[in-house]
Formats: sequence, structure tokens, C-alpha cells
Amino acid sequence: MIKAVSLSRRFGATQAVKDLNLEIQKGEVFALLGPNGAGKTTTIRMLTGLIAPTTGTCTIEGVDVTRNPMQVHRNVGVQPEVPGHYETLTAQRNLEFYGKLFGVEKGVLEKRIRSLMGAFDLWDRRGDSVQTYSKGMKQKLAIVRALLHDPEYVFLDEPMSGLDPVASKTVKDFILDLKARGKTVVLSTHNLDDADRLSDRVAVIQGSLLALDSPDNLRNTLFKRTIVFQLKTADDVIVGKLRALPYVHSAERSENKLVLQLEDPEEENPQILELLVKEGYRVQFVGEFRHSLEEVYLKLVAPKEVPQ
Amino acid sequence: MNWVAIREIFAKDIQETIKNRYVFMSISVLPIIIIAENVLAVSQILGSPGALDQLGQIVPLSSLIILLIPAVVTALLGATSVVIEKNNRSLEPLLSTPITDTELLLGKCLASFVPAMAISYGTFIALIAIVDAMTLNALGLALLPTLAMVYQLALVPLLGLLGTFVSLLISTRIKDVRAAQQVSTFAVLPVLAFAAIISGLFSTDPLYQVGMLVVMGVLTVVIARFTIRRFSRESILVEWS
Repeated sequence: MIKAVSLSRRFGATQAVKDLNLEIQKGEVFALLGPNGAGKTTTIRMLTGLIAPTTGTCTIEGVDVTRNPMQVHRNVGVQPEVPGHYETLTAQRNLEFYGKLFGVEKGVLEKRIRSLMGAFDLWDRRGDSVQTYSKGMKQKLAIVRALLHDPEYVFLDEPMSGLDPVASKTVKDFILDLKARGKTVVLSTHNLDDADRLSDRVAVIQGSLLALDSPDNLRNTLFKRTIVFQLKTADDVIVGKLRALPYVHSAERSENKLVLQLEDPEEENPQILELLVKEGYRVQFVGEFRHSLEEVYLKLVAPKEVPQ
Repeated sequence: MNWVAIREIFAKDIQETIKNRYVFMSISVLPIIIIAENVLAVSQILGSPGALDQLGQIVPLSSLIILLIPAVVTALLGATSVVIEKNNRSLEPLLSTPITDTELLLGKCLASFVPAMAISYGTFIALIAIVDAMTLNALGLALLPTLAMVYQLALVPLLGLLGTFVSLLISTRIKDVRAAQQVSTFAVLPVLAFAAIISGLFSTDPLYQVGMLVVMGVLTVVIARFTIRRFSRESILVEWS
């Protein structure tokens, strides 16, 4: 488990991260979301022992990250926002260099390089210098590098940045595969769809922690659940009747669709259906409108970004 | 101390240097020019009357120029190895590995110190062999190495270490490779001037020489300690990115 307690970091007069408390469970995919300059990269650097917090503590499996960074590094793989390869060297040489620094035994390292480069479709270009690689290939190579020593904890800073849709899917599938193998993945991303699809929980930060929960729980906390009833024909009369119900927070009509915000749809949907049928309306289908994580994010973050 | 990591950083930096045509050319050309200039000077003197006296004055001065090599080569390589890491933004992944600051610094120092020593002593040996062959052939005697040259040979590692630490120190403040190399080369010039003073040119008294070598050794330790203090993980990541 990764545990951060009252983690703060100041750079001169700038408070980059303030009083951050996190508990990331083993085997979890955890996303850090936030606008540019929100402190995501600083948080990752503190969690991985690259920089020390000004105040607060962080532990990984009980090991204090600041006091024992070397011990932590053996168990952690980091893909930074900028890939940072040795451009004049070949991709394979880059990986061999890092594998040896992590103390991976030669035979194991060779197998792992082959397997990971193969998985990310880089094996055929292993002998090319990294400067000939595209942005996406460099990004994939950085992910491969982070996984070379088979770490239990993987930190990926904007892993899908610069990737085409096929490569992006490869990375996403790989993240899910890591999760299936019990690895803990901490993602920092601006791609909210990816965060929604991949993460068990998300933390929205903007210097300090704004929200922390599963994407579904955040949706349900911030928005009333919205149910759409598609009728054969709808009119304003039924809208008025629905608005009069105590458990209906709002009711709108868009042509033959009724959009209702309810407190507890599992309880209330049958009652509404009963009413509609009784009133002579033909219900074609009923569905729940799912708010996107982007809407959740914007509700949490956007007001703070608008200058007063 | 993780010697595998130190060796890997050293080997990686050497590979990068070889692939960097600009740096490789710079460090290769210097010894060639120095040897060629000396051979040309000696061959001209050998053909003139009073050659032995003239050689006695010229040779110690010429070999003194070789002291440029450890200072300049370490300045070039030291500055390059660090600034390339900065430019590539490769320090963050590097510092995410289980290596200590000392191991990283040691690997980087060796990557500029070892080639500088090889080139410097290689140049000394080549110069001695060529000049002695020429004087043996023309005058029937070998002039090198002189006593001053022995002091110069002893100065090479200290100059190399000083050049390495000065260039690493300067690299932490400069982002551009060429600027770092130029500033580093410029910064080692006072050290070089000091080396010239103590290189046996003015006195070959062993006590004086040993005393001066100790002074230079102390200076090296002071600069090395200061560089190591500046070379903290925190400042590398926060100030260099």
C-alpha cells in the first residue's frame, strides 16, 4: 500500500502540494487528475522518493520513501512525463543500461526486453538509435523501461500522451494486464475518458486534494442520478405531473424524451413507470444517463480556474 | 557502493561521447595538434646550428602544452555528460533507479577522467617516443623525459580531477552543451596557469614541487567536496528541469 500523510511541498514562495492525504491499495489502478500546475508531477516525485516533501510522510509497503529511497526505487517503476532517453544510443542499449542499474540478472533482462519490446511493437526497431523514434515510440519505450525490473508499483505520468489510437489501446490493455497481475498502477493523466475506463479510484488535486473516490461514486456525489424515459409521444402535461412528485428533483422534456433527476432510481423508476402507463403513455425504453468523468472534473476544478 | 552501476554509467557516457561527433572530434584533434606542433618545432631546430641548446629551452615548454589535455578534455567531457542529461531530460528516469548520488557522480567523473588520462599519457608517450627518435637519429642522444616533464606527468591526474569537478560544477548551472563546454574550458584556465607555475618550469627543487602538488591536491579536494554538495538529487531534479 502507498500511504501519504499530510504531504506538502513548497518551491520557494510557491506551494506546489498542500496537505495531501492518500491511501492507494495494492493492486489498484489509481488516477491523479488535475489541471496543469496542480502538483501531479510533484506528487508522483514525492511518492517515488525523487524529491522530499517539505512536510508530511509517504510510505510504500511501510518503507519510508524519504528515508529509504533506494529500497523504494527497487520496487517502483516510473515513466516520467518526458521520456528522457539517451537519444544517440539504441533502444536496446537504453534498456540494458537501466536493467543493469536495477540489478536485473542478464538472462532475465534479455528475456524481459524481448517480451516487453514485443508487447509494445518495438522489437523490430530495437537496434535503431532512439533519436530515429517517433514521439509515440519514445513514450512506449519509456513505459517499457519502467517495467524492466518487474516492479510492484508502477507510476505512469501521462502514459497515453503522443500515442496514436492503436498504441494508446496497447498501453491501456497493458495497464489492465498489470492490474490483473496484482500490480499497483498510479496514473497521472489529462485524458479523463482513460482515467474513467482504467481507474478504480481517482484523486482530483489542485495543490490540495479536491476529491477522492471511484469515478462512479464521484458522479453520484456530485450529480443527482439522471434517468431518461423514451415515450412514443410525450407532452408537457406529464412533465407537470412528474415535477409534482416529491422524489423527482427535476423533470425536463426533449421531444418525446423525459429527463428526470431522481434520488434513488432503483426505488422510484417502477413508480414512475406505473404512473406513465396509468396515464396512457407508451414507454419505449428507460435508461440511465451517465455523467462523464469530465463533467465531474469540471465541476470540481473549473470554478477555481476562472479568474475572479 | 554499487560498482556495477558506476561501471554502467561510465560505459554509457563513454558510448555517448563516441557517438557525439562534435565532442569526439574536439578531444581527438587536440593531441594531434600538440604532437604535430612539437615534431615540427624539433625538426626545424635539429637542422640549425646550436640545436642542443635550443632544444633544451624549447622541449620543456612544448611538453607543458600537453597539460592542456587533461584540463580541456575533462572540461569538455564533464560538461557534456551532465548537460546532455539535462537536455535529454534523462535525469529523472536515471534518479528513479536505485543508485546513490555518489555512485552517479563517480560514474560521471570516471567517464571524463579516464579518457582524459588515456589521451594525456598517450600524448606524452607518443611525444617522448617521436622526439627521442628524432634527436637520437640527429644528435645521438635522447632528451626526453626531462625532470620538468616528470613533474608534469604527476600533475596530469590532479589537473584531470580538477577539470572534471569544475566542469561538473559549472554544468549544474548551464543548460546549453556548447556554453557549458566553453565556460568549463575557460574556468580551468586559472588552474592551468597555476599548474604551469608549479610544473618544474621555474624550479625543479623536489621539496618545492611536492609542496605545490600538495597545494593542488588540497584544492582538488575542496572543489570536489563543493561539487558533491551541489550535486544533490533534489537540486538536480528541481533546478535542472
